[in-house]
Amino acid sequence: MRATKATRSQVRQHNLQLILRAVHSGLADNRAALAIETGLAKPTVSDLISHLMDEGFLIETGRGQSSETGGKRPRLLEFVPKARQVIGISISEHGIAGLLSDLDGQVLAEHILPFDDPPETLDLDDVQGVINGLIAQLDAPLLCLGVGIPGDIVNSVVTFPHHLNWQPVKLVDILENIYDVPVYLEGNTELAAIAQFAFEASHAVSSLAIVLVNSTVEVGFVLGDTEYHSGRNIGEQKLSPESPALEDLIGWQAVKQRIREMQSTFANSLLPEGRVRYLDIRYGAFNNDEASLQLCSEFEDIIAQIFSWIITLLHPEHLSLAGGIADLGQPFLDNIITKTACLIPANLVEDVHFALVTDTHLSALGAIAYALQHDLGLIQWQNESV
Amino acid sequence: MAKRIGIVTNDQHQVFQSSVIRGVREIAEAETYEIVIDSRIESSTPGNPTDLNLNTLAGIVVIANVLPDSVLRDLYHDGIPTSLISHYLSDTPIPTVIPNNKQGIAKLVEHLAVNCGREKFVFIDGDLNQHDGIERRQAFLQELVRRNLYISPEYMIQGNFEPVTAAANLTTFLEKPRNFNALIAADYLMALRAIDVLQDHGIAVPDDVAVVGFGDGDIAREHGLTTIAADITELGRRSARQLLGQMNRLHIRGTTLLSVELEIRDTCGYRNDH
Repeated sequence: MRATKATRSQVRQHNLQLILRAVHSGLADNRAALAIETGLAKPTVSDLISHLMDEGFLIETGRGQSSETGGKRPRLLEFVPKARQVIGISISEHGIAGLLSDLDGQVLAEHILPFDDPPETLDLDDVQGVINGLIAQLDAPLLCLGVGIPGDIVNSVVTFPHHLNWQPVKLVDILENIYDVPVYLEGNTELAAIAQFAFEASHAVSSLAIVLVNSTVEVGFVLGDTEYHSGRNIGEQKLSPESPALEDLIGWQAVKQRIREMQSTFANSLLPEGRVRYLDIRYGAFNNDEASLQLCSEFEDIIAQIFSWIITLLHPEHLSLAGGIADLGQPFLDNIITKTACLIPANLVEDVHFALVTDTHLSALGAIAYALQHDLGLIQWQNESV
Repeated sequence: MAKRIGIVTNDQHQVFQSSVIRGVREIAEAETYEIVIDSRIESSTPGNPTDLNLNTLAGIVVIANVLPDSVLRDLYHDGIPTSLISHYLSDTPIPTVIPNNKQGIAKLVEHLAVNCGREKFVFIDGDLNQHDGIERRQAFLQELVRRNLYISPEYMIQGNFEPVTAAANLTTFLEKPRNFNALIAADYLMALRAIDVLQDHGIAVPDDVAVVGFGDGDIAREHGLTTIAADITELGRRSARQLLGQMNRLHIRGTTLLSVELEIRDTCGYRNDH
């Protein structure tokens, strides 16, 4: 691909983001300080600030102290998080989850549309129905939309995982046409990793990965040192040439089949007849139910393999297990960690902070973070400087 | 278009319902809509599902399960903008606004188990024909599994969101020797009545049994009840916005959830210990 020069409009947009981010992060709160912080000329800074004030993103809050050399007291600037609102949604086979937030990522409203069973196709009326549910709750203009999807985006066309059998769709074009705001689209697992990185990691981390196990298996990661984030569906990956694909081992359809096999093998199993959840397996394992213990052990072996690949390749500081399988709880995760340490050098495992993620709206939160990062440059990676 | 919004409720003077109506009124009247209320307990035609003349309304808010599901389906198919509060129809996509019951129950169980060290529960159910009652019960049972805790079915007491019913059934329950140190009621009015019953039986709250509820109000604050605070007036505001959105041709599907907060007061024993 040929490199091209940035247009004047792109440069201006970049500079607006520089100013906004500097004020938002507290690095500078007046015009002179902003000129020093950003390296932009003072007249340029003044022009950009006028624009941001006209748009409501910044306000003047009074006068600051004079500098040591005297002179006029600077007019102080403050970021206005309520100037706009952002909607983030996450589409999955379980339903559509949506969040409405202000520009600080503070969640103001939540709207959900659960699916009893995965639908045969993605109904765009459902997607709009959730977005509209949040638009009805807006009390500031909508800035942009972030959308998380299961699957891949190639040339702006969303291609869903094959097990869903949903038709490819040009979701960005459709939604931008309806809502007349920028729409930012990314994979759910990548967005979940971004959300953890931006909002949830208990301490500053430079790299983070998340393994999402639902009907398939996905991995998302953020490498903060390089501001790189990505996500992939690895459900079709095999542990060995003879092994079934991962989603045929621990995808939910495969898990349900394995539960039925266990119930016929262990006649007195605590696993309930009919609809079984991961919580039922957890309950059984806690009560030493053999079928439940064996199921957990099988899942642990497989996830330990996945964890070992990720740790070896990416050296994440933080590694999370998410999706329905996270309901199996901390003892399950502890066993995975122990088994992972048997596959790779133990010191590699010791350096990782492991966690379970049971927040089902993490991808929607990540969609907000991703949209804010793209539109205003407001979500800042830990090692990134203005 | 008609500038009137209808609200149907079982009893407009109850604490929950009056708070919801206040919220709906606040938003709707700011948009110059008149509010008309059908409080079924005061109806002159109790045999009819509603006294409202639907043809004169721009939209309708329905609180809980006051209208039969068949009437709700008719409203939907007739294209009358409708917003449900704390109710849900699985086969008809009428949008709804609901307090986040799962979040609230999870906070209660976590607080009692982790912060207060109480793991032997009694649970007083709400109305199991209502969405909130069903969801709070399911959430409670799921949280127990998450924490590897167990409750015997006889420790799940029927309350129907009626303090009198809850008190009577708790009294019957206490006729046998029981082993529990925490009680969760699916609403705060039942929790307050449960405290009276426990104390009448010589059981000290919170020393012997921690008691918590769901929902908040002046009376809960006065009695120092630890509870889940859901801003019910905000529930009404959200519903009014959802309805106005539909009246402005926004096609809405699904459920708007209202976040809830744990209010730690005296009846769980945590504040005395820390």
